[in-house]
Amino acid sequence: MSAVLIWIIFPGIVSIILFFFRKWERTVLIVGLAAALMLTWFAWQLPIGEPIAVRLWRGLPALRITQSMRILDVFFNLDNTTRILLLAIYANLAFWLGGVFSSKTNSLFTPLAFGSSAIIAALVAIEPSYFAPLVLFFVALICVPILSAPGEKINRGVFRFLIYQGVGTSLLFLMNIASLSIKPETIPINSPSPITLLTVIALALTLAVFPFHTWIPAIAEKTNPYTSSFVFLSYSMAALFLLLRILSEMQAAVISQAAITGLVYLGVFMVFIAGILACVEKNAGRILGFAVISQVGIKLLVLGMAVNTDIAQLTGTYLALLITQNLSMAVWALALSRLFMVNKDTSFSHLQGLGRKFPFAVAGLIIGSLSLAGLPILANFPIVFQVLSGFSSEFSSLPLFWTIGNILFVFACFRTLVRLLAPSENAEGGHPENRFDSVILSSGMILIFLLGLFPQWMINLVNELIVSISAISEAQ
Amino acid sequence: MEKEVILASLSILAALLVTSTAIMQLVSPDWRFSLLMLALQYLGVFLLLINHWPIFLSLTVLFSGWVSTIVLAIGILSLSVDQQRLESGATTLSLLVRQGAWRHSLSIIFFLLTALLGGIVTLTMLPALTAIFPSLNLSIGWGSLILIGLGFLKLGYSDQSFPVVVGLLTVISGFNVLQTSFSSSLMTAGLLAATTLTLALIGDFLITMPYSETTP
Repeated sequence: MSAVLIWIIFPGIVSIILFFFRKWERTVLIVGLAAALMLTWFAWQLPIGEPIAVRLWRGLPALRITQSMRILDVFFNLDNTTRILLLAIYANLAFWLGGVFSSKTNSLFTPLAFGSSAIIAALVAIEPSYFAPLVLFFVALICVPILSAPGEKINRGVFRFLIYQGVGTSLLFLMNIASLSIKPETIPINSPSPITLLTVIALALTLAVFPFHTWIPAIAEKTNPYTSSFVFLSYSMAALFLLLRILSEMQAAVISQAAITGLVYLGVFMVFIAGILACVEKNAGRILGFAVISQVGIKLLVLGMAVNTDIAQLTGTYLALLITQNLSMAVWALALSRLFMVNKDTSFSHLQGLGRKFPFAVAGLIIGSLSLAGLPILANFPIVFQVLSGFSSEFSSLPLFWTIGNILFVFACFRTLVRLLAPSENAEGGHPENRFDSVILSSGMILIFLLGLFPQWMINLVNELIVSISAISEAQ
Repeated sequence: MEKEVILASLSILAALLVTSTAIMQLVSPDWRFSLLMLALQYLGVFLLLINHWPIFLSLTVLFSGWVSTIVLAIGILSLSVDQQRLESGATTLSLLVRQGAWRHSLSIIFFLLTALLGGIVTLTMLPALTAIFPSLNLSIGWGSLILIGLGFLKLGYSDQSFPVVVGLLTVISGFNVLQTSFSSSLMTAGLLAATTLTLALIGDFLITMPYSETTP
């Protein structure tokens, strides 16, 4: 049996089946969640290329998962080193599907979220890697229906997302194949070549780097916050996997200086600019969008650690950050989606006073946002602190800009809180807070505090996971 | 030698075809005419591609383009006449027509001038492009850049689903023409065709979804 069959083709087929049965939303969700958890468990437990002793009956040969499959003239290759990425992809899917009951997403969410995860796995697997940008465009295309609710005008942010990703991925693919045909001796040493510059522009388009970030707040303003947060985090994860593949194929000498320094400065710049834009914003959905931009910046900082740390530590930090970011963002998005459902609007004028009617939702919104801002005793703080302390000696001005960006972001959170608690007629009448939603939000908030107070639980778990998976790849 | 001359003449013809269809798409507010121009544009792209690709690979791009055009036509035909006018972005220009023929002529002149500007920018960028990619044929360079440039103009003037998707298909066609100069694998052709078809399907979804009242 092939790994490609398990982690790409099977989820693709599940996605298509779920799509045709989407009218039975609960059944589709339960099946999707079970399948996502199963794929996560497989990625955790099943070694690739090793015999697996599953003997259902006497005489059945030991199973062995092969690592590659050829389709046309390309290979899809999933070895043990990519299992950690598969684990991240399907754990992320299972986690977000877990909150669908409370968030009232549209019926396309579960099947298409499944499909997008299968395509992200294909992005990790495809060889030669210059095809990966085209695969990323498929992820973007499949995300479009998730973001568009039936019967409502299409959000202009969705158009921008489609345009930026279409142009960015096409340009990246062109630059990747063009760079293969150019002889190294013709590339100027002291100045960046046009191909490098165009590649940087293409990456900026795909990663939503300022000034190509405008689709994120535009989508977050009008779409169900839970849906948009899933798309933002999953798409940025896919784009970062692509960046990782591009970096791993560049020559070591080029990576060590220019690329890494650029990533670090870009990461801090994104945190800084997102803080400035969030603090003058009057829409809670758009503030969530700026938080996504800030978090992409922190992920770039983690990639910037590549020079000073070994790959196991880098993967561990990235996974730990992925867990804390997803948890904080999900709590924030779930809380905001509860408020969004009242008026189908997240502007301050429509949210004013709702804090008195939905206390759990408001608590979730504030705790989730403050955790993403990196406040102490909350989940994101230990990881972000670890990342920043790694850079403070080399880039002395970076922590300052990072801190200013986050202080402005905390200011935006408190502005939101003040408007939510202000007296208003919005707080009168209507349905009270749902008990099931309150339990889910409370569990998320408790988990945020626990991971902030006892980060070693998560770090130990992640490290054990990496050690067990890397032991198998080294043995091979 | 004779084959090379035929290919060179075909690529010049193709460059002229894609230029004229891209300009017509920019000027015309009628969705039927836009789709006709899109179909012709894919024929032009096919003629450009056969310079670098075997005919059967180029045909995949041509057929995927034509199927995409049909998918978009089916999507827009499922709407009422008023919805078709709204989604195709024709309302602004039709308003001008109702206000007087001279205003309509002015708007056409405006779009033609912007297309001319796009052409000038393309012409100035062409030497830079051939400097980066020395193996690039001039007609292919012109064809791809004009598609990208005029596609961007179309995207810039529209905020409705239909023109945005048509504009994006135009821009991506421009990139596809450039990409084929460097890679002629079966997978490249397959992925480019799949991208075009999926984009058309998503375009169809975007066109019809605002008027859907039931579960999608």
